[in-house]
Parts: sequence; C-alpha cells; structure tokens
Amino acid sequence: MPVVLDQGGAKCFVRLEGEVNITLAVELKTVLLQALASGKELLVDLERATEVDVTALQLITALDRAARRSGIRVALAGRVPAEILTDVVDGGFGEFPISTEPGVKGG
Amino acid sequence: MIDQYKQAFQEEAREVLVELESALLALNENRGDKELVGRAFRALHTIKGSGAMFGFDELAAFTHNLENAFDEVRNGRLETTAELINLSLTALDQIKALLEESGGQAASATSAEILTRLRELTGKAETHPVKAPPAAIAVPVAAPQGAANDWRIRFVPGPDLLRGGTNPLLLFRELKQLGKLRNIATTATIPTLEEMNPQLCYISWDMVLTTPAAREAIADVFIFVADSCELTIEPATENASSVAPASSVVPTSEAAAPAPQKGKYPSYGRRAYDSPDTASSIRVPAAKLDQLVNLVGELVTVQARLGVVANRGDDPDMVTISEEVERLTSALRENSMSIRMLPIRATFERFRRLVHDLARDLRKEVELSIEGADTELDKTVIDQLSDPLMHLIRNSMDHGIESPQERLAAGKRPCATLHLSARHSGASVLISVADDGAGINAKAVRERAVEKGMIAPDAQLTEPEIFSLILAPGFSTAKQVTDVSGRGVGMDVVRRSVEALRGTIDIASKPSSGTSVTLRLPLTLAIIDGLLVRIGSAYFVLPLATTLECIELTREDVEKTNGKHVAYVRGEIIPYIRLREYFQLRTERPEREQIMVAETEQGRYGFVVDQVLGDHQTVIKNLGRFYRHIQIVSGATILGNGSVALILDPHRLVQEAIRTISADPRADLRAQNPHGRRVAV
Repeated sequence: MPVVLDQGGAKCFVRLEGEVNITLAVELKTVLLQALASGKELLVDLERATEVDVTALQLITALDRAARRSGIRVALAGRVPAEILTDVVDGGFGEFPISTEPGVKGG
Repeated sequence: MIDQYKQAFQEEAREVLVELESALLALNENRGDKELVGRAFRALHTIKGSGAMFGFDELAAFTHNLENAFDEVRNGRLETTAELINLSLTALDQIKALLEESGGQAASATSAEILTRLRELTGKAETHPVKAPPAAIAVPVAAPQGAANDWRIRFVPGPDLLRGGTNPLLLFRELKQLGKLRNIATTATIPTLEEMNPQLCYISWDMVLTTPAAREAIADVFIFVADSCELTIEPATENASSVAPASSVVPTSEAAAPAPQKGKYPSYGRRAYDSPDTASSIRVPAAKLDQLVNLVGELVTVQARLGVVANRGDDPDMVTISEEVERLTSALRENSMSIRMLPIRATFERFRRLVHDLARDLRKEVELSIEGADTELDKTVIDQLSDPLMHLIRNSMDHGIESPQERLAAGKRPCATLHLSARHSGASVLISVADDGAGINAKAVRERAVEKGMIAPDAQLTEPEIFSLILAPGFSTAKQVTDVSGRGVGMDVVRRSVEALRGTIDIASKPSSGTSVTLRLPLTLAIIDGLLVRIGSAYFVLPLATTLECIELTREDVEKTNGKHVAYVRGEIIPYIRLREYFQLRTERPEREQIMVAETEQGRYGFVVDQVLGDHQTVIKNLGRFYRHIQIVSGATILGNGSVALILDPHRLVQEAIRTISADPRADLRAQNPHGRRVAV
C-alpha cells in the first residue's frame, strides 16, 4: 500500500511509499484529514518513497499549517531520501515542509 | 503511470506530430525559414520530453537524435536538404509507430536503420538523452558554453497543470542543466487541507537562473506546458539579488511568502487561461458526443409528441410548457450539433504529406493549394471523408497530372497544381479536388465502358454521364496497374463512401486543362431543420436550407398553364413536380395546393403538396438496406403522432425527373416515377 495510516498507538503515523504523485493525491488528502482528526501527534514517514511531486508537497504543507493551528505536533519520521530532498530544494521549498522529529535522524 | 495520463499524452502527441509534419512539409518548400525549423525543433522537443515523462523511453531516445539534428539546423551547423526532410518524415512515421507501441522488435530495427541514416547525414554519433530518474524529462541539450547571464523567470502554472501529468519539479531539474538555479515557491496561495482540491496546482515560482543559454533555450524547457501556464523570462538586472538563494528563504507561512507582483513582468510565451479556475477547453471522447446527439435526437422526438398532446387538449399552461420545451430542445439541439462540428483543416493538411510522397514516387512536380480549410462539418462526416479524398488525390496524381516533361511539351508549367477546397452551400458542403492535369479522355472512357459491357455501343450519353462511368466498380482506363492506382478500385470506393454519407459526386473535366471532382455532402448526419408537409395522409419532410418559399396553386392556375407543370412566380417560370403523382398516392386532390419552391443544383424547382404544416426538427433515421437504392429519399423521421415521414432530397428528386425526361422525351414532369414503384408511406 503506497499510503498507510497507522493510528493504533500514542502517535499517528502516515507512511508513504514509492511514487507519491497525483495518482495518490485524493487518497493522501483523505488519509491526512483522518490523521489530523485523530488529534494525536503526527509522524510522516517517507523513507520508502522514491518520488514526491508538487501535489504531495502542497498537501504536506497544508497539513503542517492545519496541525499548527490545532496545536498538534507534526514531524517527519526517519530519513527523507536525498533525491527527494534535492527536488524539494530545487523546487523552491528551501527545505522539507515539515521538520524531523527531535531524536530521529533526519535526511 | 496510470493509463489515463498515458492516453492523454498519446492524444496530445498525435496533435504535435500533425504540427511537425506540417512544419517539415512547409520547410521543404522554404528551406531557409528559421521559424519553420524552430517549429519542427519545438515539436520534437515536446514529444521527446513528454514521452520520457510518460514512460515512452524508446520513443524519447529516438526523438532525441532527431531533435539534435534540428538543433544543428537551428544553429546553422546543418543544412536543410531534401534528404534531411525525407528522412525526418520517415522518422516521423516511426515516432507514430512507437507512440502506438505496436512496433515490437521490428520497430527497433527500423529505428536503428533510420538513426544510422541520420548519423550519415549529420556526421554525428548517436546520442542518448541523459538518463534521468523514473518519470523524469530527458535533458535536451548539453550545458551551454560562454558568458553567463542572470535571467529572472516567473512561472505561474494554470490550475490544471498537474492533472495533465506534468510535474514542475522535473522542469526545474531541466533548468538546472542550463546553469545555476535559485528558486522560491510561493506557497501562501495553498488553501487549507479541507478546502484543497489535491489535484490542482496552487503554487507559483520565482527563479533566477544564471546561464550562458539564450532566452529561447530557457523557454524551450517550458515548451510543453506553455499552453497551461503564465511564463515570463527577462534578463535580471540589479534586482536579481532580490530573489535570494532558496536555501535562505523558507516561505512556508503566509508571512514569509513574497507577495505576488502582478503586471511587473512583460508576458513571454502564451497565456492560455484567464483566471485560475477557468479551463479554456476540455477533451471529451467522441463516443460521448455521439451519445449526447443520440439522446438529443430522442428528446426532439419526445418533444414533438408533447407538442401534439399539448395542442390536442385545452390546457393553456400545458401549451406554454410545451412551447418552452420546444424552444429549449431546439437550442439544445443546435448547441450539441455545433459541438460536433469540426473544421476540415486537419483532414486537408494530412494530404500535404500524401502529395509530397506521391510526387516523389511518381517523379512529378505537384504543388498543393488548400482553400476553405476552416469550413466546418459534422465529425462523423469528416471521419468518413479521409478515404474518398485520398483516392481522389491518388487518382489525380497518377492519371490526371502529367510528368514535368509532358507538361512542358504541352506548354504548361512543369509543376502541376492540385487544389483542395471546401465551402458551404445551403445545408451541404462542397468539397472539391481539382488538378490542372491532362483531363479525362471521354472517348477512352466510353470505349472502355463499351468494352466492359457497361453501356451499349450506340448509347447516347452526355459528357457528365460518361465521366460518371469512372465511378463504376472495376472501371479503369489505366494501361498498367501501379502501386498508386489503376486497379479500378479507388473511384468505386469514393462513390460508395460518398453515398454512405448521403452525398453526391460531380465530375467536370476539360482535355489538357484538368479535372475537378466535387463532393456534395450533408453538413450533418443526425438532425436537420426541415419543413413538414402533407399529401393526403402521408407526411414528408423537405430540408429547410434548400427551401425558398411557399406559394399557393389553385385549379385555375393549373388550367392557365394548360396542365403543364410550371408556375409563374413574379415573372419567373418555375417547373414543379407533383409529389402525389410522383409517389402514386391515390388520394383526392384538394382545391388549393401548395408549391414548395426549392433551390436545387439544377435551378429552382417546385414540389406540390396538399398542405405545409410548418418547420420541424428532423431526427434522421436510416431507412435500412431495403431502401438503399432509393436516392430521392435521404432517410425518415418519427413524428409527434408516432407516424413516419420520409425525408426528401430535392436535388435527387429533380435529377431523377430530368433523367426520366432525357430518357423519354415524350414524358414531362406530369406523372413520373422512374422506379415504377410505390413508396410505402
């Protein structure tokens, strides 16, 4: 499954795998809204992602803003592949829209 | 990549290939035209870039080499020769095959063969697009050399850019190949997660690119998104530093994002949308349009029934509603029919290639001229027109147009002209293929027809009748069968195709001056505006577009003309056909009849009916195979009361009447039915 929501524990995990592009955009939005509705701390895992396109970056940016407004902590779980980070920087985002969770090694 | 995007790419690529073909053929005639070279290069670049993006790797790699060749031409390092154009056209066919993914191993062998020839021509080794990560765009050109300049680029994608399968991040990768890129994304415009349509693009970008490349090379990166974005590229001056390196600015919040600076930059490239939520056009499968027209046809029939029922009762509200529904149905019908209307340009332009290739194969010089390419026709008609037109052009080039030597000997220019034209004429479109060749040898046609037993040796035929013999199955006067024509199959195909479209063919020819074949085709095959008429208890529809006026015919008028079938209308003598007699309807003639005067190919003619009931939106239904040979009837329609009315073809009716009189001079228009049979109505 390219988009997995795991909200069984104390934190809510959103795991993204493979090509995270427009073909998954609608599904990703639904999952992110569900994650936000859980009220738990959110962790986005991109370690197994091979591509993140503009639709995904827009959604993650919007997630970050919504979480801040609601006082929910949102962070990256694990490393972001270097290729994706290069695309994000070249794409004018400066750095990934959400930061790495303290204590977890960033990409 | 999901099939939906792949299919969208294939559709767009086919359009780009038409553009490429047109540019190559035009370039063949204007070898030094840089604009045409640019057009060809851009088309190749688009196909290669988007091909790589959608997983058509072989297509992208193949096109990349051709694109390089045109880059050489663009930079003046390679000359546009006939050989290059011909090879490019062959390569274009190969791109088409690769696009359809139907080639297999044979396609790879053909690709290799073409690239070998290309290498011989350009003197360059085969190159491969830079291997990019999955779904990335191949890099078109090597990093440019020379002094670097700063360019300020503002890129505002249309909202639907991402839906078309474009990933802007890949464009930035390509820009990075040109030089140093500093980029800022404006993310303040991203709506809240709840409100966001996740497939739309909300971000715009401001960049500074430091590169020795020219503006054109930068614009080329955006070439296949040009239709769906606002793009400005201008030399950056002292303000260049205002776009700070992306790493130092993180515009992830509304406050940090730079404010949009509308109107600051001059527009560069096309802007194909007016506001972020407006799409200028959408793609709809043709089958859906067919379904829409079928449904509208059903609606028109039901609306007619509603009208009958409403008028039968005495409820004024019902009548008002019925009239309103009629008005709306009529508007809906016109609207849905207009959606299916397409200009014939694409069909005509496709023949440039055919003429070019045939001229080369037959060693003839032929110039193709096109007129009226914007004439619109129903899509169904256009779809079925390609084959007959192709046969006409092949025939004309093989049999009609002479070799340059023969033309010179006949005192003509060595280069022949083939003229394709289209124009409206009432409810029809006239499409003509005319050449200035040798013309049809009427004597040879006649002799061949006698030889084949098609006509009696002593048959008296007019010139148009002799010419029409060439439309018969298996007829050919060609001394030898060539690859192009001569088997006598082509013109029969033309006749059958045109008849299937309810059209007619006229052939005019003069020895040594040329031949002109004109196809008269209906504008649409689905619904027409008609005039509903009644004779006894039978109903008929006459096409409104050919009808001029309606006049009364009394018994006195008939007596005044001594029973001759002519009427005097404002000093003009108008012959008429009495439909009651023509169809042998044994009903009583009323005291006063009506003459519907129509404009036909043979002039003005009248059709006498009992009563004109008014205009009628006519949904054309085929009569089926049984009535296939009755050409005076072009179909049938179902009326509001459930009965069937035949749709008459005034041109054919008059033609048949004249033919009968020519065959039997004693006959007049009085009581003729050339088929000698009653038509069930």
